Amino acid sequence: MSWDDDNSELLEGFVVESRDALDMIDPLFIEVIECLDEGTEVNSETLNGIFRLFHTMKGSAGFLNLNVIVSVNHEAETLLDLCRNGKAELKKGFFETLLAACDVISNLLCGIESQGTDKNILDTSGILKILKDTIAQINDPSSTSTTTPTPTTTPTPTEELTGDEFSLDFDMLSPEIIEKFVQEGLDLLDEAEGELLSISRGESSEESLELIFRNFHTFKGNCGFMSFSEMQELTHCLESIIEGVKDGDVPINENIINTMLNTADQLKMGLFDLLKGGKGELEDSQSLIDVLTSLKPRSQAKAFDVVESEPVTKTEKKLAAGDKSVLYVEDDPTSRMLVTKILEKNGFHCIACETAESALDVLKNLSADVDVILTDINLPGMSGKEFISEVTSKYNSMPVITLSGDKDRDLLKDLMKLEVYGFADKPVQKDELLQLLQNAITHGMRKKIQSNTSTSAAPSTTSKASKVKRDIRVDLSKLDMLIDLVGELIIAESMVTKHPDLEGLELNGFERAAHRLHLITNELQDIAMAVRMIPVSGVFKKMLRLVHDVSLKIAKPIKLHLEGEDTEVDKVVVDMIADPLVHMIRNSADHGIETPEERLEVGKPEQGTILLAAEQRASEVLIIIQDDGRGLNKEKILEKSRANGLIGDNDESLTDQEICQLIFEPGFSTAAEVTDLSGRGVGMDVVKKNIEQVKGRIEIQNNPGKGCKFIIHIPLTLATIEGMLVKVGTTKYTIPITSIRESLRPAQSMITVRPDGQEFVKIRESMLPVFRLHTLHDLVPDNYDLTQGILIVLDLLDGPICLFVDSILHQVQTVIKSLSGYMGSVKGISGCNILGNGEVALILDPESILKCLPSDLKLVEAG
Amino acid sequence: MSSESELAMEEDQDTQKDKYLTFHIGSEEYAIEIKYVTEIIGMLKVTEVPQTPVYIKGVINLRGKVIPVMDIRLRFGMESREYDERTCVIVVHINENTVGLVVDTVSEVLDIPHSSIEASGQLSNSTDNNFISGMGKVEDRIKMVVDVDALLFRDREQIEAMTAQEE
Repeated sequence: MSWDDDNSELLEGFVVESRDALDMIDPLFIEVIECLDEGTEVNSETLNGIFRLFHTMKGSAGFLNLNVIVSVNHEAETLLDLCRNGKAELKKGFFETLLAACDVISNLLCGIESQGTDKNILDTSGILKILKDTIAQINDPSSTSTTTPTPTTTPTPTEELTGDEFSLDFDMLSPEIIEKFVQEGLDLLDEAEGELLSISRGESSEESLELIFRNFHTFKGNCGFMSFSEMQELTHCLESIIEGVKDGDVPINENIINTMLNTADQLKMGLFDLLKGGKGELEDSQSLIDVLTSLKPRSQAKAFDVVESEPVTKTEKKLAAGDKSVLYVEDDPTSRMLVTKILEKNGFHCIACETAESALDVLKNLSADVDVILTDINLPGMSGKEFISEVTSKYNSMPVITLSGDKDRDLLKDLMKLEVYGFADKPVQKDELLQLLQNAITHGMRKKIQSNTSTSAAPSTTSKASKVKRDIRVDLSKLDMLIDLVGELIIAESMVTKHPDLEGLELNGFERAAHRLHLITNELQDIAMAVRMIPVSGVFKKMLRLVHDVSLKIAKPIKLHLEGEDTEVDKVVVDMIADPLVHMIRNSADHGIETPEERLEVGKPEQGTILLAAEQRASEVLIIIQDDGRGLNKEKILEKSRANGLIGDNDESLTDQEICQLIFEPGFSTAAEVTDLSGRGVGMDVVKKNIEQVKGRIEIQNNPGKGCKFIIHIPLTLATIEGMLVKVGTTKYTIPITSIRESLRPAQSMITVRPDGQEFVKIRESMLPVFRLHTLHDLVPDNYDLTQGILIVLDLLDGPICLFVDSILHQVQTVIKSLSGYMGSVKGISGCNILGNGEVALILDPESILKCLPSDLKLVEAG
Repeated sequence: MSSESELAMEEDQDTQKDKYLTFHIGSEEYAIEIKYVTEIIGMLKVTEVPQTPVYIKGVINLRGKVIPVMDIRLRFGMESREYDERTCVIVVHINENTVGLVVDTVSEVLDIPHSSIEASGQLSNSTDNNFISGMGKVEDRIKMVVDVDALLFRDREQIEAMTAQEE
């Protein structure tokens, strides 16, 4: 069974979720490693957190049959499990290995994105081997080696459990994998056999039963992954019997032990068959199963019989599923999404709830509509167990299936007492789950008819699933469309409420209604804008890993501090700053921070520190990257710049800021041996370009010897602008309010004209050059007389200037639109916005407006 | 994509085949392939954008979307003409670009079979001829088929190079 187009959506979701998970794992690892470095105790919650993330990913991948990912995750999980159980001493090496595993997974995800499968993308055997070796190392010295979960073996193609609908595609199973599976299987069976024999000798003990059970269970799991359904079924029967023996439901006797030994022999035969290139088919497995089933204790037959019994053909399955509703309780969003999708695809109606409480609410309203309950056991708030007992007491005929990674036998026993219909272990095979659900539904219906407790039909189905969703992923273009439409709505609103036809009319009621409409549209606009905002923490957390890697590579201990990760910025901005941050932080670590020896020499702590902070200031977001390294070396920058011809030889007039900005020049970074320079350079021109693309700028505060601070100013959002609407002739401009210092109408006495025609205005004590917007943009203004128009004082990086316009209309806050791509970039204009009356105004880009000057004039201005 | 929707698309393209929207500039009639046309609107208020070629009249607000408009007369190197109530903007979409074309009047949608279109020979090198890909004969009249791609994109590199030089 291969994943077709229908599943690409699921895969996509999986990739996105997994990326998020990896992003979350990285910082946690760094935290652990830091703890280890400092010798402090590692927070067990952190380990659990990492474990959970791997586990979730494994589960999701299992659903999607991405077995390569499952295998890597599984090994990682096993290793972590050992760590968190205290079975292994925490070593830094483990986590480096696990980080490497994360990278492998991330590469696999890329492959999945492009190819839709995780097979044949890259060789995972290397990382798997390292992981397994590490695990083996931990296990070896201890005699309890078998009590640790044995790694489930690896990639398999997928096949229906029932086995008769799809043929096993053997080409997909590499011989190595089969060999490994067989080897492991034989070991497991041998060990179980040994214990069985010791029982038959009368040395029965709780522990050996446990061991047998575990081995059979692991083997069953392996078979499941490899899709050897016959062996799986057989092992399942064995497992059930042992379970019965353990609970005292089945008397242990020679007969049972012999049957089990026979079965184990059969299984071994199957394994040998596999090794010889066969298909692992068993002779006469059905009769064995029959025998075994007859030995099975009653109570368990009910609970466990479910998975394998009576394979239903696909058509029947579909028909029977009909419109059955599954109430699914799961706190983990990824699993919830995946299972919901799978169920829906297979004709079930799925009502997903996050907590048991909300599920009970749903049941209260819709109990007649719910056919089966599928629930996790570990739930926040009310636990799965409490939930189930609540359900069984209130809705007697409701079949309940648990879906959990928890294999605690006591818990399972308790659950069985609660008449739970069946259990599914995470990660569960899709078909196994569907089959289980189907059987449970039939069972529930039978029971319902028997007890004849038909409840009154529930009212409507509309409220279903309304409570569950906390966040959704939306295509950005859809969001932009929404924002466009909201903008249109605001325009339409003002077109209606300020319609000329209404003029002169006394319409009190209308005014009130219009006011209400205005409030709503405004709120709508605010919300539409807020939707685009996301916190920077995602990008920031990635840097932890970066610094960790870099500091290892260059052998400088460096710690990255994060501050203000909650600051929210427009999604587009966040995406755009990710790369520049990588460059800048890498540079800070590589060139800024001195070697440990140097640091100690100058009396600094051995460990370097980089601070990455974000804060919101007015309509700007500041991103600060500060290191406590050696700072920029002005002399060397000047030297290098001269050598590269960036500045003249005798250019002594540069300010500190100007000198620092030189490192962003393209020519600077390409210079040879940049790394020998105490300053930074690599890729900084790219950084600047990216930042400028989001209309940001970089400020450098250099403190030689003590460190260097980069402050990136970026607008909060690219979507809106607050500006002053001005007019030149018939053209309207929006000037960003952040650049405007003041505006005034000059008196004749303030104006001075230089012989070359350049005008200056004396404002208080300073002389500011005047530039006429109509000359810059070749427009026809209403008047040419400075004293009849308005001067707007703009704060530019190079100092303030005056811009001459006809008049100021009013202040606006609007959505920024790009000037069509067809027009290319226009000097002095960064975009446009639509005014209340539907007209288009141009948004002035103050920093680039002077580029419109003819070049000769520019010289004049500079001189 | 399911085969159904593919079929639908094919059908769609079939129905658009050989169909042309014709418009007048002065006394001449021009035709433009219907597949490029998204809509026809009356003249809206144009906001001039500085530093653009003269035939780009500026931008208009098309239901919240800002699109540039090109005056075909100016693009063809003809005299411009006062806009009146018959002046139309044909909105075309090509290569991810949406552009409005200002024409004197829009007349009709016509079938011009491929066979009756004569490739415009290298008759002359004057600018307006550059944007004509063929001459369609419908009954006794001649419709000049406009090469939309050339109309929108030819010379653009040149222009960009020029503006770059000015810097």
